[in-house]
Amino acid sequence: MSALEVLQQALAGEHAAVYVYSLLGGRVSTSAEPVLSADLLAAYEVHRDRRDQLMRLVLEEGGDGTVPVAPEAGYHLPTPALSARQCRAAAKVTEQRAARSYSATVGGTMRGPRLWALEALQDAAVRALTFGGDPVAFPGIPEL
Amino acid sequence: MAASSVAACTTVRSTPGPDGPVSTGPSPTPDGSPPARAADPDVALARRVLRSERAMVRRLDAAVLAQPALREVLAEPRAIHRRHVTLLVEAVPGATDMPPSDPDGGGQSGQGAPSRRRRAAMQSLSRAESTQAETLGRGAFAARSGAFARVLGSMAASSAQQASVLGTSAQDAA
Repeated sequence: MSALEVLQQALAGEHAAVYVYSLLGGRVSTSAEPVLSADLLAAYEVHRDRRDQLMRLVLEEGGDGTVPVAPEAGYHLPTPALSARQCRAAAKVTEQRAARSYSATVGGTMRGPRLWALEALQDAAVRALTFGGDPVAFPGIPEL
Repeated sequence: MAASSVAACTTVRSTPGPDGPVSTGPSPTPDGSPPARAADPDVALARRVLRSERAMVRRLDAAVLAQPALREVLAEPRAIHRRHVTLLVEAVPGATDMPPSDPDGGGQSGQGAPSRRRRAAMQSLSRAESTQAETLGRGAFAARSGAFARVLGSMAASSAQQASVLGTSAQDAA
């Protein structure tokens, strides 16, 4: 897989993450769950920024005529997300999936895009803890 | 995935990178003897990372010796860093020949006597994990093999997680 394909795949994942967080944020009461609500908003903003950064990286990598992959019309939530507990679990899975995507990006790119992916991978790994994840030996590489 | 297969996919020789074969490794010598391992920069990088991970294990072990009450809270980071060491030993050619004790200290994570105060100890270990994450991240950035970079990046993220957990524990101990 080329570096451009890896970045496009990461961008597709980022579109999904932004969509999921936009839904989760609307399902958690800011008054009843202020901490979770703030964490979800922060995650939404981080992934929205990363989506935009990835679009730029795709264009830089592909050059003229490259079209960044577009978002799907909708995405399935990774878990049921009706209660606050379920929303937290969905956010955890979203970060774990993001870590997997960034890990692949680290391996499939070099220089600037790899540095970007390394920072994103560390952030996703730590953010997963915020949503109830456990520390693991190899974040983003569940097969190890 | 077993560590041995990881060693194969993260081999620091003959692994294609994102731009093609970036690390073909040294060729056999004319007399058939093994080539010098240090010829491949990823091999040298892997050995440095292994020293650094071993130093982190020693530091955590020393903290438990100094404060046995920390044994439970440090069980997880100790197990995680041992897993890192195990993987690296299988992936690095000749790693079993390396001395378990690193004469040069293996980086910052091997420095300093463990604190006997719980909060100070947790803060110190959290900083050590942050330093380890930076070290591993630099290694991942520099690695020529994409597969090896991926593993080092993941180990860096793992240390970042530990830095966060230990930092929170230090605050709770205040």
